[in-house]
Amino acid sequence: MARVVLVGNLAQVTGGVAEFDLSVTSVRHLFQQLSELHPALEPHLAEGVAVAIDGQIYQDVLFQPIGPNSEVFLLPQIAGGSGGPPPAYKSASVMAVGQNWRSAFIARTAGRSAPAKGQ
Amino acid sequence: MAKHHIEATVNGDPVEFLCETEDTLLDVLRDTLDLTGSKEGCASGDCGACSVMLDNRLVCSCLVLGCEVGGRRIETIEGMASGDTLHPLQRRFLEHAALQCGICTPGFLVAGKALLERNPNPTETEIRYWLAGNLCRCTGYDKIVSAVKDAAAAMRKG
Amino acid sequence: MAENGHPQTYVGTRTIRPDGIDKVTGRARFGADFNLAGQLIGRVLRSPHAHARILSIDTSKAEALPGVKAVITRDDFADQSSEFIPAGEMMMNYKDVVRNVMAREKALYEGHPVAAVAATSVAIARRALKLIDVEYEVLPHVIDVVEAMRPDAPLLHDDLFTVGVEPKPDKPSNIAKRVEITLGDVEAGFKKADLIIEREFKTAPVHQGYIEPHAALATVSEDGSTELWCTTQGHYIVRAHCARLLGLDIGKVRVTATEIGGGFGGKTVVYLEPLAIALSRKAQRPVKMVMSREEVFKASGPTSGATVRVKMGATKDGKFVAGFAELKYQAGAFQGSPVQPGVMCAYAPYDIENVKVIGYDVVSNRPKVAAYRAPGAPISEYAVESVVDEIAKKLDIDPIDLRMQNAAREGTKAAYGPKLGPIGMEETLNAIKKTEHWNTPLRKWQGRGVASGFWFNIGGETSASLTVNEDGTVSLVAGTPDIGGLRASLAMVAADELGIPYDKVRPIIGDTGSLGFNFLTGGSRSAFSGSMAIVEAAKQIKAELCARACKLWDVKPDQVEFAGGHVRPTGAVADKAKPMSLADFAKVAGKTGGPIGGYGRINAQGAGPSLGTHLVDLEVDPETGRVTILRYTVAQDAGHAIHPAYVEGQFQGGAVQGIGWALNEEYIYGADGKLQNAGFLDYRMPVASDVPMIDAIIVEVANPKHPLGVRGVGETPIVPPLGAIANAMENATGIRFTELPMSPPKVLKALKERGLNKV
Repeated sequence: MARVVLVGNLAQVTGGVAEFDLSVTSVRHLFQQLSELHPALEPHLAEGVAVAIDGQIYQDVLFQPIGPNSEVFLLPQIAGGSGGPPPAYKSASVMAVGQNWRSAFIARTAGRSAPAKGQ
Repeated sequence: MAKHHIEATVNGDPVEFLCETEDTLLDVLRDTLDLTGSKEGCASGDCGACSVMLDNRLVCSCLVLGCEVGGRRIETIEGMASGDTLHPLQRRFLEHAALQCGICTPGFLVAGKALLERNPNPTETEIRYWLAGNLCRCTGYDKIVSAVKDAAAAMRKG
Repeated sequence: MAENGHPQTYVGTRTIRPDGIDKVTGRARFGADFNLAGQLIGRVLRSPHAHARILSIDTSKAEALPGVKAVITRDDFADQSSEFIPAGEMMMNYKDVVRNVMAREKALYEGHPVAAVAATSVAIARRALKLIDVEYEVLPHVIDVVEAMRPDAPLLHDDLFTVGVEPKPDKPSNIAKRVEITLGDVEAGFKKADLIIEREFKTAPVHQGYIEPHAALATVSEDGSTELWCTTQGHYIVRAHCARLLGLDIGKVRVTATEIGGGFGGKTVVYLEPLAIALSRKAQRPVKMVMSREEVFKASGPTSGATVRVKMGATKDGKFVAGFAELKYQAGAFQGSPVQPGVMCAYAPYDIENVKVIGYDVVSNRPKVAAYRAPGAPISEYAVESVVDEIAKKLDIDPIDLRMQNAAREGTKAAYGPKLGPIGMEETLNAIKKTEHWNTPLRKWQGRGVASGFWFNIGGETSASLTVNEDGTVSLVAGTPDIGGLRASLAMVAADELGIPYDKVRPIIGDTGSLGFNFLTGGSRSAFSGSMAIVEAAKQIKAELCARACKLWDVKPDQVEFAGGHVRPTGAVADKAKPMSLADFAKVAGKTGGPIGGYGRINAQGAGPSLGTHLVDLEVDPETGRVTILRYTVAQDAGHAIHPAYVEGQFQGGAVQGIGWALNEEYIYGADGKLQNAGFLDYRMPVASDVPMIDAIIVEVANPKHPLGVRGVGETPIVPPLGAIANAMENATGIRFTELPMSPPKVLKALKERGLNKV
């Protein structure tokens, strides 16, 4: 399973959950699964995140493959990708009934500092 | 208010134009005579992108009025090459990569030519101080100085 | 032949750039050099107040003035819903873009556009502006970032609620965003430290300083088709923004990027373009608009000023065990400072187990910031490099050795998450250590400083085409404006890939109608991505030629090969036919299938970071506080330099911008919120007599993700100078300057305070 880590403010959207072990084969698949688990993530994923797969940073590459043992980081988009307006917010695509994605998801909070209170 | 009628010489050719009192020589060159090689970077004489020679004197054309140049001789970047032969400075700028975006280049070439006509063997310090009236934001001046030195050497050889 | 199998006759050499002759003869046409018959001159009315509600705008008298053909205000632009878009290396929101281009409810900075006119002459346009009556309700303003963060500060936007804090605030503020990256546990790290240093730094906004002001020429036909010439780093971006703001189909807008007189990130956004189009549409005539230098300073984006707090911990052997930083960056009137990349780059040159960096994006009443060469990084890395230098001094370790000991390398986990690929941090440190510069002794009042810098670089959408003409010459069309030698570099790559002479390749930058989408020139991407697209286009041509050869010679695909600019039969059929060159194929192109060409359309990935280390010697005049740069050396990793002279040029240009930033440049505001130094005289950038020759050492640690090993190089050079110069100042005077710029009055004051202002 791929180990997926949310960097920076993204973890605040998931209520502090920053690490996932997911069975995903591509960036698009990863975004679908994350949006299912945490719908609040969906606009951030649509807006633009950079995806680092095994150390290599990718931006705007839905079909980039993710390996079974890959280490994946989701970073805020540090640089522009497509210059055109991003797609309007869409509701997360519905996972096929029967896929037991819940069993594939393990949340870890150890080692992550809690989101800041106030400033 | 009637416009001024001015006759002058630009790059060896006689020219005739009309201008308002407040039009600068730079405005006239660019907008009336279609010589857009001289550039406006600041309109206050601080960047040198508009450098031209006026009666053999290096000036910022944004600080000269169009109606002041009657009967006088103006040389701009457009007159620097002779036919299809580039001036040694122009050639050396290309060889030394002394330009990146190129907006300041006409001003530097006119100023550099004026320097070498007065001082055929300038030191690095003399080059830098003579060109201190020309701003460049891209190159850091290093390759411009090298190009001027190299052109000076080539011109001394004749 | 290069190691990776790509031929190299030209790549790596110093060719003459093909667009050079026009630039040394004055023939090249920049933004303000274009004119159309019947054009009108457009001018902008700008707010004289730093912060004011716009109660009413009466344009009737201006419209009635003979010679005025159109007047526009906020009423001519539809409001935009909130939507973030990438802009250069930062994000912008269309709701903010439409308001920055033309104020709506409020004027948020001195210089904010409030109306615009198009008239038959400059004089009439100027008079028309004076006839527009605007009723303002002047509001208290705030400039400084720390002031703007206070809960009682004047509020710029009543719908701005800080993102990134818990619990979500119920009151709006000037703090748009809080960002954070964390690695390990800094508290535990600090407990392991034998030495902890904590410092606070302050920088002022500085402008990119391009010599060419913004310029645009628009003409709109009766059916809405629009043609625009403008000086920009990204004509596809301009097209997208204008189409969006004016409600036009993207395909109906054709933008030509003129030659550009400098950008450095500042020309990645729109200012005049939507105004020129709106005026032209209303007047039904072409409209030309050019900014004055004063407008450039007052109304186009400088970079952020900032307050930065850094706390670092190290063991007595010099190992960095903890790195903390808190960055507060000004965004200007609308959110979107480069605090995110500033946060991510702060400690990036180093391998530190425990890192925590927090950043705040804060709005205030000054122009919206735009990208400036490695946006955000020079500020945060200046602060960190200053503290690293203090650690070196306190622990009595050589500053290069200390950086070497803690250098990030291939496999290091970056503080922002992923492991780094191969990078040249150590190589640049070694290169500096070996120089004669490093080993030259200094005199009294002279000081030496070193600093390193990191920047990510990007790839992005790129389209480029190669067409083989009937005589075998090749036309190359790229889509990212050439700001410093791109056409030469791409032509060299094409010549090598196709095995033809360099002067048989003619490169141009096409307009938006000629190619698929191209992201802008920025992020050090144009040579990196462009060369990738050209390699792809060349591959297509070579495959096409081999396929045609097979048909012509009646041989199988594995019996032909492309080498040295020719297709030849190989192996058993090697004698079957004579090799054919591009020109040979071109002669029979029509009969063998049609015109020959390749079209590379990619979303380039795999940009590798570029690391650099700078070394500077300077001398302080204790009687005046004036600082003279004596000697400067840059060592930076280019991966593989396509054109060494233009790579050196990037190093030298960035270094001198950094010198200006460190020693003299800053936006100076009065108590009334107005900019006091909006011209080149008082916003003093370095001139030729201010700097020495800049020695440039190109280090090459190949980027494995690029076919030729190339890394982007344009931005990193501006990152190390601030720290290097501050460190050299400490070395020369014993004073740690924590505020930039270190201009003569500030230096003299600091010297006087310590009784040091005598020779």
